[in-house]
Order: sequence, then C-alpha cells, then structure tokens
Amino acid sequence: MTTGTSREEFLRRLRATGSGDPGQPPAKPRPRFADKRGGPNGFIESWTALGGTAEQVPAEDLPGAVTAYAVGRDGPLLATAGLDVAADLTWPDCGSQAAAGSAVGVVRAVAAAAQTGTVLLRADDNRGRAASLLPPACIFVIDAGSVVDTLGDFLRDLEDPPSQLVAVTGPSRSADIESTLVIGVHGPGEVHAILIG
Amino acid sequence: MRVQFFASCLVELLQPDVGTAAQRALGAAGHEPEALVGATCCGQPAYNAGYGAEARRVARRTLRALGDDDRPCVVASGSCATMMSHHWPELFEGTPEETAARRAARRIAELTAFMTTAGSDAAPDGGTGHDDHADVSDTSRAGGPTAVIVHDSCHALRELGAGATVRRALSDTGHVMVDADGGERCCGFGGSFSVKMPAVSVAMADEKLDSFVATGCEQVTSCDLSCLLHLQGRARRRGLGLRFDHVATLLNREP
Amino acid sequence: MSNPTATPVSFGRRADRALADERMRAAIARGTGLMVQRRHEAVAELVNADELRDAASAIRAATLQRLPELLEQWSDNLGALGGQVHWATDADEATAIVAGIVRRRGGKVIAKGKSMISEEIHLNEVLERAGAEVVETDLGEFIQQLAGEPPSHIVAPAMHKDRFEVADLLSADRGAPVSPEIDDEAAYARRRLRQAFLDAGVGITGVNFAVASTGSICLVENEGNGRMCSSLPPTHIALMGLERIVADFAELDVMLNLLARSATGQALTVYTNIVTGPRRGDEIDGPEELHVVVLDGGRSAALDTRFSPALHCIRCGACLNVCPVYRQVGGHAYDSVYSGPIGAVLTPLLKPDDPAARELSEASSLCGACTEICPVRIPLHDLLLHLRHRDAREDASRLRRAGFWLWSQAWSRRWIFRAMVLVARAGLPLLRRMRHLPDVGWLGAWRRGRELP
Repeated sequence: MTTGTSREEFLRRLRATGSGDPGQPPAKPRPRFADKRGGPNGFIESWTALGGTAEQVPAEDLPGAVTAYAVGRDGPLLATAGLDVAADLTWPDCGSQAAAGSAVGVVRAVAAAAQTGTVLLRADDNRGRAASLLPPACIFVIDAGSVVDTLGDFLRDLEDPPSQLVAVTGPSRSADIESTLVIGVHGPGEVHAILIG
Repeated sequence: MRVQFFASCLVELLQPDVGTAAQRALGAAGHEPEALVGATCCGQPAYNAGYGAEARRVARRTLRALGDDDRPCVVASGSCATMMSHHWPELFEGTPEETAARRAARRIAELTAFMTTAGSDAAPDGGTGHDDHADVSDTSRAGGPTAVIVHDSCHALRELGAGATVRRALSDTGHVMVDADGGERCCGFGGSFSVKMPAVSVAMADEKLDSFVATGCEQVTSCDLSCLLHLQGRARRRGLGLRFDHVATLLNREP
Repeated sequence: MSNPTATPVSFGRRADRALADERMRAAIARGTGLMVQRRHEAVAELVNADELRDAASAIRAATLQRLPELLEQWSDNLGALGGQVHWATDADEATAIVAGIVRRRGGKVIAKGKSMISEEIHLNEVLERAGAEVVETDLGEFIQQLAGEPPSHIVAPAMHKDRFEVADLLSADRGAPVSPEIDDEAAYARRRLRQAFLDAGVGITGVNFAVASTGSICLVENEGNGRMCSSLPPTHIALMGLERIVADFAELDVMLNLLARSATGQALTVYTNIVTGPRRGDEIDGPEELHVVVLDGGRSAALDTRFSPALHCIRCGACLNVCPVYRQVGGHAYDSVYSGPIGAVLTPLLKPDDPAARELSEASSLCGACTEICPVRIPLHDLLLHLRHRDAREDASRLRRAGFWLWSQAWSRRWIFRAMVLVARAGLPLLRRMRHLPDVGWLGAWRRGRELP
C-alpha cells in the first residue's frame, strides 16, 4: 500500500522537535497500597469483591469442581484444548462460532494478581481467545502458586509477550447508562476462579 | 508585626469598609498595618483575559508602591494575593522589574493566611481550622448568628492553600462553620469569564446558591470580594435572603 | 431554536442551548459527580499516589523528548512479529489507509470499539460512504451512533442521556419496545451486537498505550467489546495518536495504575488487552492481520511549544468530571471530539486554522480543578491562560484590545484611579436605581441574571 506517509518522512518531522535527550531516565515506581492483599486468599478477596466467585481445590478435584459449576446450564460446556479436565463432558471445537453457542468457557490462567483480583491469560497458552470471551460464563483455572501481588509484578518481568495477553479483572461491565453499573455486557457476566493447590 | 497592607482595587472601588475592617483585624491581633500608598491593582483582570502588556502596565504601579521593603504585604483578597505571589514573576519575566517582582512576590500574604501563621500574639497554637465544622442544627441551638458558610475561592483554595486559614481565622474569633455541598466547586465568577460567558457563569452561581440555601445558614463569607459580589448579585436577582460579607468584616464582628 | 440540528458557531450560543436542556444537565451533574467520587476513593487506595503521578508526568515528558527513537523501536518490534504499521500525517491520510485495508480485506461489516482518534478523523463517515456497515460496539458509542450524535464525554460517550432516552433509541432500533431498565437495555445491546462481532471482516479499536520495547499495543476497556474487535475478525486495525507511546512495561504499569482509577474509579479496567502482533503459528483464533495507524494530525506542531504538556494526556476524562463549566453545559457545547478542559486546550492545537477552536480557552473560569485532578499533572488552567495570551495578540477584537489598553492607562495612574473610585462610589447607587440600563457590553452581560454590586 502506498497511501500515507513513509516512516522516514513521518519521523523526520518529529526529529526536528524535542531535544532527543530525555535527561535523567524517569523513575518508574511500583504502586503501594494501604490495604495490601497478597496470595490466593488476597486474590479471592479482591475477585469476589468485583462480583466474581472463587474456590480453591486440590488438583485432583478440578474435574469435579468444573462439572459442579457447569451442570444445569443451558448449552454445551466448552473447554480449551490445552486443559484436560474430564472425559465425560462434551468438548466442542474452540472456534468462535462454537464458543458463541457454549454456556461456559474454561481456560487456564498463566498467573493472577491478588491486589486487584486480576487473571492473566495468554493467547498461545489457551489456544483460543474466544473461549474466555463469548460464553456468558467463564471458569479460570489458576495455579495457586502463580498468584503475584500486582499486575505490574507480572508485566515488568515479561520479556516475550504472546500475540495477545489479557488481564481480566472481574466480570464484563459497563456504566455507560446513567453511570449505573451493569454486569455482563459483551464478555462473560459470570466469572468463576478455581485455584489449584 | 509591622506590615504593608493592600486592600485590592475592588475593595477600594466598591467596599472600602472591608479594607478598614481588615486593618482593624490586623491591629487587634497586634500587628501594625500600613496601607500601600500609590497602589491601584495587581493587574489580574487583564492578565486572565490574555493581555500581558496591559496587566504589566497596571501591576508596575502597584509593584512600585510596594517599594524596597522587607515587611510582609498583607492582601485582603485571595485572588490578588495569588496574582502577586504566583504570577508576577512570570508577568515581569525578562523586564527590568523582574528581580523586584520576584522579591515582592515572596512578601505577599493573604489576610487570613497571614493572621493564622505569622508570629501574631493572637495566633492560635492549636487552631483546629478545617475540622471545625458544625452541623447547622447544633449552631442554631448554640445561638444561630455565629454560623457561617465559607465559600472557598479557587485561587485561595488551590494555589494559596488558604481554604483552611479562612476557617481557622473565623473559628479563632468564635464563628462556627457550616459546610455546603460541592464546597470546592467554582462559583462561576472567574474575572472576565463572568461577562464573556454570562449564562454559564450564572448557572454556576445558581448551583452554589442552592447549596447554600440547603444548609439553612444565611451568612456567607470568603476571602475574595469578587466571588461574593457575583454570588450576591445573583442571590439578589433571585430574591434569596442570603448575606454576603468579606471575611475581614466577620473577623471584626462579635459573633 | 428554529433549527435544533444546526450547531451554533460560538461556544456561548451552544452553551445557552445546553443550559436550556435541564434533562441533559441533570444527567451530566449526576454522572460526573459519581465519577469524581469513585475516582477519589480509588486514588485513596494508593499510598504513593503523588509519587506515581509525579512519575507519570516525568515519563510522559521524557517520552515526548525522544518520540522518534521510541516510535522507531516500537514499529521495528511490531513489524518483526508481522504487525503492519502505517503513518498518517493528517485525517485524510489516516482514513484513506483504513479504507484501503477494508477494501482489500473485504467484509461488509466493521465492528468498532471505542476510539477517540476515529472520531477525530471522522472515520465512520468515510467508511460508510465507501459502502461499509460500521457498528459501534461500546454500549455508550452504540447509543450515540443510534442517536446520530458524537460522544459527549471521552470516557462515557452517552453520559448526557438518561435511561428513558436510551430506551427510545433502542426501541426504534429494535422496532419493538425495549424497557427503560438499564439491565434490559444492556441485554438488548449484547444480543444485538453479538452477531456483528461474528460477522465482521474487520475490527477497529483505539490504542491506549504502545510499548516500544516489545512492539505491543495496550487497549483497556470494561465491556469486552474491545477484546472482541481485536480477537474475532480476521483483520484488526488499531488507531493511535503518535504520542501514545511508553518505553517499556514498567512505564505501562505506572500508567495503568493511574488511568482506570482516574477515569472510572476502578483499580484496573475489566480487560487490559496487550496485543503484540497478529495470531501466530498454530493459534486457532485471533486476527490474521494486525494494522496500526499512527496519526500526527497536528500533534508534531505542538511538540516544541509551551503547550506540549497537552500531549501528556492519557484520556482519563477526570478533568471533564471536575470541570464546573462542563458540568453545566456538557460535552456537545464544545463542538469538538475532545471536550472539557483538555478539549479546550487540545482542540485549538490540533486545529490551528479554526477560529472557533480558539474561543474554547474562554470556556473556563480558570478555577484550576482540572489541574488539581490530572493524573499526569498537565497544568491545564495555565495552558488555557497561555492560549488566551497567545490569541489575544493575534485576533482579539479591536474594541476589546482598546478597552484593556484604556483601562491599563487609567489604572496605572493613581489620580485617575482615585477619581474612578469616587465615580464608582457615587455612580453605582445611581446605576442600581436606574430601571432601564442599556444591556450592552460587559455591563449588560453582568446584568444578565445578576444585580449590580
């Protein structure tokens, strides 16, 4: 494509301005909190305050926990290929059309942040972005040992980001009408965290 | 303490009593105020409208009146004090008066800021200031007339940090403060804004006045006469029974 | 109001019209009040909020000092991962680039997330003229699209509407009643827009930050629509202003800790999407193509001026929420994509040839509430004042300039001042008693609603 300005031309105009010298590199302090929350319990506290639900189970109980959450829902359960949960559940493909017709998505989180109640998903880890996005409910499976204090603790050490990294902090919401909170606008309105270990 | 005193052009033009009251309050606190001779205005009206040269021309007159002096200069207006202490250095930047303007700027103090912080005999050692608010029902039981709503002028509040000192000065003289909703919101005066955007300015005043009326308290005060005249003008048009007095006037009034 | 759809040319006139709209004013007062309250609570959670704000301010300033280097590094990194970066000098170039990608990649439906840049370049009009169906998917933007209005607030586009007005718009769209309950309204939008996400050939979003060290773009949102637009369609186009860059994830962390807190009072938005290139290798979904369009749009011209701090803005909207003028008149009175204090500063910088934009610096009482709340410490009310100084020299009315000149001559002479004091003291009581004062000039403006002192 030839529309637009070449990068050289675009940047040349910018080079005419600014000193090019930022001086002392700026400080990049980490946030500090009056009410400090850490570890799996801290995560659960923050997550439930946002309207999510959570439980902590031993690894062998994961299939049971997923089944208990999903039974009775209208529509097939959906899990992502990277996560071996149970054999007696039906697993549709993870494409977006399938995900859109599913009642629950199940995805594995690469980490979680306790302070804000944030779950971190890597697109390459889950082999499917739609699973955590299109169904009305989503289960996030989190290794209890992967809980860090803040999103920054995870991000600052991240060297090779995946094609998409999503930090999910609670159920989908909006306050666009009369500044009043509604839950579940486009993404999942029901979010359930299962911490393993 | 011996101090210079500048009433502000608005006080001289419209309410000279405020200047007298301010000097009396300073005297009662053991200070010796001496009114600036030859001063007119700080230049703010032109400065805030975007006219630097005109602002400088007028401010130069007042800068000269301040003279080569070491005494503090007490100003009976939060916004003029802000202009002189915060904006004069930039206004005179690159002119022969720059050094004088910077020196003068350091000597400027708003009336209540000076009275509550300077080495005054009457200065409180533990004035509770900002926390000293009262529920209006309490004050009416305690004798009504002492209750007063403090309108924070934006300059005083945000640039001078004088929100607390107006309250402290009033509480030191026995007044009881009443809080109105949205207390930190601008009243809509804003200098030339009040006549360039009159409808918006009046709408802002209306919200302010409604919040005053809702408290049940009828006495309003501020360290800025300009805000008070704007609010008073609107209150009179609406037929509201609110009273507006500069803080200097209240400091002299037995509560 | 003979023609309610024609936009008056002056801020004052538009403000008059807004002031007559009690319903809008009530909605704005409520919405901004809630957002300010939530912001204060969220910032209070941070022990070192001031330290973070200082740091954010310094980071933004340092970024502007080395923009070419950071943009080069960022675009090299993104390019190496298969992302395509386009450079647009102005709105025409930006829309032409997007239209070209849409044409090539096909798909009639375009799912669009919230993007202020797209509003700035009037992208929807261009794409619709080219035959595409553009669907705004952010709830507030969807409402505004149905209403045929631009957003009135950079964070909450439909803040000026109450739920009954929203219900009317949604009912008209549905062809059947949608109840004026907010949950029902949101549920209708969810159903209505779901198919658009699945059908869309192209998703368009904004960019909150671009991370130079990795070539990433970061997009924050609450509803999930931004994530849909950047995940489901085969092509994702992201639009960003050239100043949106940070050096690395540590800087991003500082910004993220302030952005949502200042905007909506959340610690973080529900979705913080960090996109680093299109889908890779054996991933089963995600866009095949990622295009990022970087817009200058007049920004580079503001860089080496005293107004450059306006480019530090992270679009949190906090200055709108505390502005007492915005509170009275809402966003549309500014007649600009960017309203409130930041809009009053930014608009004349981005549109230097538009005399109407210059008038916006007067839409402020200079109260300083904006400066006080700005998370990256932009001295907004100082910049508004500087704009007045710049413009008074250039194009103030002769009458006004003569007036200030005369005033300064008089008030720099003590004896004239003394004489005027005497005149004022004697004259005001007379003026006050006069029934029929001419309502002209500043005297008339003062008396519009106020008694004389």
